[in-house]
Amino acid sequence: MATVTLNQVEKTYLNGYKAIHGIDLKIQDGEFTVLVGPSGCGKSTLLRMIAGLESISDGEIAIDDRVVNKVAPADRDIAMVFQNYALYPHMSNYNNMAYGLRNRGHSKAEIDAKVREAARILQLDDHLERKPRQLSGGQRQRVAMGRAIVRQPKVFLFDEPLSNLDAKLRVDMRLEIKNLQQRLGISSVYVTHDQVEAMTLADRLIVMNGGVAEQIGTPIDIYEKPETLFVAGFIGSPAMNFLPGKVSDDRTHVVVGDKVKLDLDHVVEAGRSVTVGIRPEHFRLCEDGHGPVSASVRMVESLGAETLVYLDFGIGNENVTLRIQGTHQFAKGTVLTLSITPDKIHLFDDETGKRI
Amino acid sequence: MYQSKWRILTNHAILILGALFMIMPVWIAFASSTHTREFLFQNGLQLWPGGHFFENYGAILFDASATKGRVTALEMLFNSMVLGLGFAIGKVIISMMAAYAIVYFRFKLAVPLFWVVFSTLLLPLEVRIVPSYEVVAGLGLLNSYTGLILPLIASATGTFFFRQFYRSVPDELLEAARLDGAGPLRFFIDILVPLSVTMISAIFIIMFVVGWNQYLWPLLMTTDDQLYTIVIGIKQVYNSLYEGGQIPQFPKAFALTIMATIPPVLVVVVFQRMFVKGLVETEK
Ligand SMILES: Nc1ncnc2c1ncn2[C@@H]1O[C@H](COP(=O)(O)OP(=O)(O)OP(=O)(O)O)[C@@H](O)[C@H]1O
Ligand SMILES: [Mg+2]
Repeated sequence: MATVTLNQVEKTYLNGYKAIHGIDLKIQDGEFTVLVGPSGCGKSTLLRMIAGLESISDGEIAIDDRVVNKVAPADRDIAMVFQNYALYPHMSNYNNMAYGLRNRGHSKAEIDAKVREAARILQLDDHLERKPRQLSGGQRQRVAMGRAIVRQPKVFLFDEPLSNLDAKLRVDMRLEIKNLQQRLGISSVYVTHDQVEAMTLADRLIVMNGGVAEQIGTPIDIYEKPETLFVAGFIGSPAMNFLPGKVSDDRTHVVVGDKVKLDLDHVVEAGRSVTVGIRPEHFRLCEDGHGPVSASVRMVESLGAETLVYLDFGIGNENVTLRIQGTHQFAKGTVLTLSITPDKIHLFDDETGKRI
Repeated sequence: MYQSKWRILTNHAILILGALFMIMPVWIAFASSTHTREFLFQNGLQLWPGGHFFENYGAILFDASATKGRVTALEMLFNSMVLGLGFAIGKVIISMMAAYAIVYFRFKLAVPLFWVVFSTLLLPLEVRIVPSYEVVAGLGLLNSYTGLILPLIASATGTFFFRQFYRSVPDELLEAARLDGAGPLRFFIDILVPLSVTMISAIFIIMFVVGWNQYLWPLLMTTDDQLYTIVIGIKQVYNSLYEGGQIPQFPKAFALTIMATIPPVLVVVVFQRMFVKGLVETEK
């Protein structure tokens, strides 16, 4: 149980590349923090800095009240789960879990008790004597988790632990990880670029881009009120639709293209050019044909539980995605009438990309 | 894959011919070593074994006079074994440690040092044999096992192979070990050495055979018969064939040759099994 504090943390690699541009963060006791962002944005770098596997170029990292900038990884009281598991291939699964405890000089009986307890929690009892390569991917992942939990560290670090698993196993393991973390109450930092993982696991979500934290908040906060264009586009699947717009002179609505007028729920400077963001799931079909938006169907994708409709808004070649529950059939060219409640409309400044 | 009967036949014919070609000289040497010297002298090389196996081999193994020196074949085999094992084990240990330093420790001169080591591949023992001799003589190590082995155990080849191997070990393994509280020594002994078993046995086999077959270096280093290796012993026996008016000791020379080949063959056979097992079982 511990807090982790990052204070203006920066990382410049030896080759001069600046991967982290100053991040402030406080991870509360027992909190599950998820770092999410596109490839190359510095998620792993930041995690590895907390682990002590990368040096800290500037700023401070503290675990509880102890600044750990110069503390060796083994002495930080953290445990890490790697993407490719990083199990010792020549050791039995038992020894894989016991190795860290042995190096720390625990007694044989104590090690045995801890390993067996972890194995019981992770349902690995029958596999302890085998080597990692004799296990399935999911089981290996569990051994890697076991290696982390036997140590009862202050902080768990996960670097995309599920990305080598198939879709179904991923869901199972996701639930298992969440479960385990809540039961053990250990503060965790979890790196992923899968947004379902990010949304479901996180107590607090950190969306990173180009070495900075674009937004920090609860997953729902970030989904409902993305602070920047980047966050808005990154979180949510299918991605948010972005349309160029202009605030009307009476400041009560925004004009998209030449004909579409959308009501606003807050006052914005008249005549300002903005990017209008609307999530595919926030359009409503107006069956009676009365609504502010009409657009023709370009393509339909049925996913069973929901249907994705790609619409022509008459603005360039861009498709606008509409997501509706259930199965629907629309012929190409059908004109649909849509409405949208004002509080679901996101406006972003054209220049800064910031939320208005 | 489908193979026609003819193809199988010709393949086998070629393989069998090749095998015979390799084995025949050894067989002839063996067969000839089991006859009396008079018989061999009159009838030439033999294809079928005679009845003097125990007599000839016993004499050469235990009777120093049979080898025309003051040392029995058994003692020479022992010397060769010491040289072969010392050479192979020394090379494996030294090159593993050198490669470990080069790959895992970021010191400034790592890369230039590696290339210096690597370039010594261009300088085989024969090129530097005179200065090496000088050094060993200066240290007073002539006619000692230390002098025989020590100057040979640095290995550019071994270092190179281990370096390549270590570089293929995923970094995460090192990182996981660091998080598990393993220092550099623990990581080397607990993780890297067990992972290298395949590599170790491969290099051990090669180096043992090379060490066993060393000729020039032991010849220079050992003036004392007691330290003769079996390869040198063979040479001595053949040399003495033409001395004196006696009938040459052909059977005994052949017997010595046969005995000289057995240990390397055993090492290859035994370690190859481990080697293949290692190949199949370890994965990174
Ligand atoms: N050792 C290094 N030396 C120099 N640059 C590096 C080094 N490691 C990473 N980088 C660079 O730092 C940036 C961030 O890398 P990082 O591995 O943290 O990305 P990531 O967010 O984890 O991406 P991914 O989702 O693909 O794992 C990348 O642009 C990468 O090229
Ligand atoms: Mg990464």
